[in-house]
Amino acid sequence: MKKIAVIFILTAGVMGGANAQSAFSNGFRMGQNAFNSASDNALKEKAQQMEWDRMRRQYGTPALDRLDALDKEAPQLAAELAETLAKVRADKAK
Amino acid sequence: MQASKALIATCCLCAVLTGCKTIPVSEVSVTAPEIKVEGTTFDIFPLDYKKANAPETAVFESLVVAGLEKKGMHRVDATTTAPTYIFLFDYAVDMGSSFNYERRFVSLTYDPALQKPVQRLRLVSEGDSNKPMEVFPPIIKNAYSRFPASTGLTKIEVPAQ
Repeated sequence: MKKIAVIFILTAGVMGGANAQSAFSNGFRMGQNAFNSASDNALKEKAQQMEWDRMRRQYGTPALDRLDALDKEAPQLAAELAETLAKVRADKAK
Repeated sequence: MQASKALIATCCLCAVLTGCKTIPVSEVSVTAPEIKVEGTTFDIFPLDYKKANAPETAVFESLVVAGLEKKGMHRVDATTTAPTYIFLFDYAVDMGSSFNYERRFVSLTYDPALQKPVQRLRLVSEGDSNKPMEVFPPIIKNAYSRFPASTGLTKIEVPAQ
């Protein structure tokens, strides 16, 4: 009877050990995949950032530059517009 | 305790479902002390003739007009009635730093009687969207709800639509 019990215990131990090893290696693999993926993403992001900065240097920011140029001239343009509108009103009143 | 947890969970859920996020906006507005709002008249024009017929220009113009009319100003046709103020505005989106887009909105309020600008507004924001119709409406609404608002540099947080 004691022998049978020992055999059962040993069998359970071996099976438990095998399962634990399998769980450990699965967990390890998952962790490794996550690490690789995070590292890939970081590299990808860095590469995209560098490409973005290169394009910005190469092409500049024409839309923002145009906006700034117009903004600088805005007081003069507004004065000219006000004058034109006053002339239009005067013509209409004739 | 249970009720507060439920409230927090509901708020989180609402935020996720509505896609709430804020757009930080740097605002520089310089306002002359002689500017008057209540009962004055204005007309508005795009600063850049190239964008004059763009559909978003009409939308942004109507947002500025709505904001000013809420403050008690009235829009007039400047070709028939002399307005108290003339508004000029422009906007642009281009590549920004840090893998983002830079979005800018500027406006100028000109007083024909004084023959000088009485307010200048500059709104700058950075973010991942380069679509003017997504970005500018909440920024414009927020800025013109406080017109003529602050003088100097402020940082405003505008909730995204």
